[in-house]
Amino acid sequence: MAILSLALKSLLNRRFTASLVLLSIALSVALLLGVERLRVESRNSFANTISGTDLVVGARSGAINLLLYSVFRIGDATNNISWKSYKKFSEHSLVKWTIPISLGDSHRGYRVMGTNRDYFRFYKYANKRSLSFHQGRPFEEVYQAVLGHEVAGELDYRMGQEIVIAHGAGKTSFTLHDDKPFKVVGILEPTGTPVDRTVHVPLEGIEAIHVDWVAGRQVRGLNISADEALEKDLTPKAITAFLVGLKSKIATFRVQREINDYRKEPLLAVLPGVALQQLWDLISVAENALLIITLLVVAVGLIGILTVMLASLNERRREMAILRSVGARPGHILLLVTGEGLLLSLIGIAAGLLLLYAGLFLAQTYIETHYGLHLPIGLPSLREWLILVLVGTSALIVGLIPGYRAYRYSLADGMSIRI
Amino acid sequence: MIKTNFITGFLAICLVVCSTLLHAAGSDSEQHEAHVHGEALLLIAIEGDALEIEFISPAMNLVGFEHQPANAQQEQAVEAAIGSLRQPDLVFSIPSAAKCVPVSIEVESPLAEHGDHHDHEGEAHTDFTAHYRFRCSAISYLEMIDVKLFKQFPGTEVIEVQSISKRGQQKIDLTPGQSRLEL
Repeated sequence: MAILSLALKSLLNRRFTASLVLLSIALSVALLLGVERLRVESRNSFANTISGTDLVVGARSGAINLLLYSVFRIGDATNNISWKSYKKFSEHSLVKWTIPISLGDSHRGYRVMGTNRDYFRFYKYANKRSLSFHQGRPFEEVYQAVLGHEVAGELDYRMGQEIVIAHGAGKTSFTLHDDKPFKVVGILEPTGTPVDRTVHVPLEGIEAIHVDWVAGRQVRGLNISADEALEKDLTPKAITAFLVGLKSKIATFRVQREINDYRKEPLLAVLPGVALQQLWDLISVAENALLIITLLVVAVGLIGILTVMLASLNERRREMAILRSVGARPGHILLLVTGEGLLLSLIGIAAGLLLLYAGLFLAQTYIETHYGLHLPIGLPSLREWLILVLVGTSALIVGLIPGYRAYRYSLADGMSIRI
Repeated sequence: MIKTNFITGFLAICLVVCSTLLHAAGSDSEQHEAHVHGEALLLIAIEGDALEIEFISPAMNLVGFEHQPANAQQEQAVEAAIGSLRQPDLVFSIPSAAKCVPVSIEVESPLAEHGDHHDHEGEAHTDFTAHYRFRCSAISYLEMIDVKLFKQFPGTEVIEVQSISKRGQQKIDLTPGQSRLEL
């Protein structure tokens, strides 16, 4: 115990160097844990976005691509699929429900999704949780919209407000469908998924705002008012993708094959769980690279401790000799120097944890609004504890090196050292 | 020596390119599944007391060639592969506690039938498929399946497994060193 207090006092005596070393350890530990937490939470967030959906169907591209644009609203569809194909499979005898999805427009940076009322009945997230309404109800008429929780919160929208949809998915689109505004009839409860950042409108609404548009432009002179549009046939000709729930899970592969082999249109049906796993397989390469980099940063921090301690050893040979003269054995010297290193690392690790939580606390809202990723502030996971123990153990091993050198010196040096 | 290598390489490239071109020319609206030698696909679905397993593998992995058998030896190889696939015990090890009984076993081989196989709806795939249906009276004990296909067919290097069970949809790649599938 005396040695520990001596080590602490010795560190305090060299507080400037010690605090710099401590900072490097703290930063590297915070970085390592931050990367680990980001990795785990982004996986959780992806996995929680879709639940209970057996198949996702879209135009033929890649499985990951389809999953990303249809469910996570990342990137854009390569192609649309015809309403006819959708109708055919939605009436399939093995299919229990389908949710059509039509993407492509936006509202002040938020994606607008055309769908039907089945979305509110059948879409499930996290552990088979259904969507629930914070206020209002599902849309019933063509020019009505249901907002995700974040859209309503960020833009401060109320029930009954009218919103204008922009053509295209950009944040600052100059082409607005301002002749046909939508009335907010519902606001959803927060889900922690991309649903929060989506404006939901009926498929017919998407069709209606595009009736006087040809090839991506509004045709001059062909102004069809909102009411006139209602009298037209608003059945969509094409949608972006659809989600499928089956009566029996065991039929999943059979229906998947049937859709993939559909001869009239090149369609792709993917199992969301399988596509997600493919995504992880792809990402794990980058994740591992990131993990290795952060581990190296920790190693650099530990080498920093080693350097500082070894450099100070020479200066402290006289100090050690004095300790020896008042009765310290070489073993005590070893303990003192190693203990100093370990103490420094442990305080560094604790500071790193503190730094991580401070960072999480400060960045939580920003990350959630900008990246849609909810980072819960919870106790470290088992894996994180393991990482900390690993860092602590390496610090102990690193501390043994100067400790051993001091031990050797104290054996060889007498009282009269010439430095 | 270098010259020979160059020529062989050139021929190989030509073969690949030419066959792709021929393939493309022959298939107008046909659909082609991916076909990679050494890799196979295993689809597993569990619901209620039913267990369904489908195994799809390039003929190359199972018999070592992908053309109609040319001699008695090759015919025998095809027969042997079909024979093994028809016996679920040889290709999977399902925990006996789950009490799974095979209800139906269908094995299809692109190389087995003789005669005018080339006109078979214009499809030129060379995949074996085996479809197994089981009834398991104690399906809650079905926690894993050991895939013995690697031992049975050493030409198989990776099996991509897609499974649907109470744990949801999963995908995992099995290898000869890691042939056990947790369900």
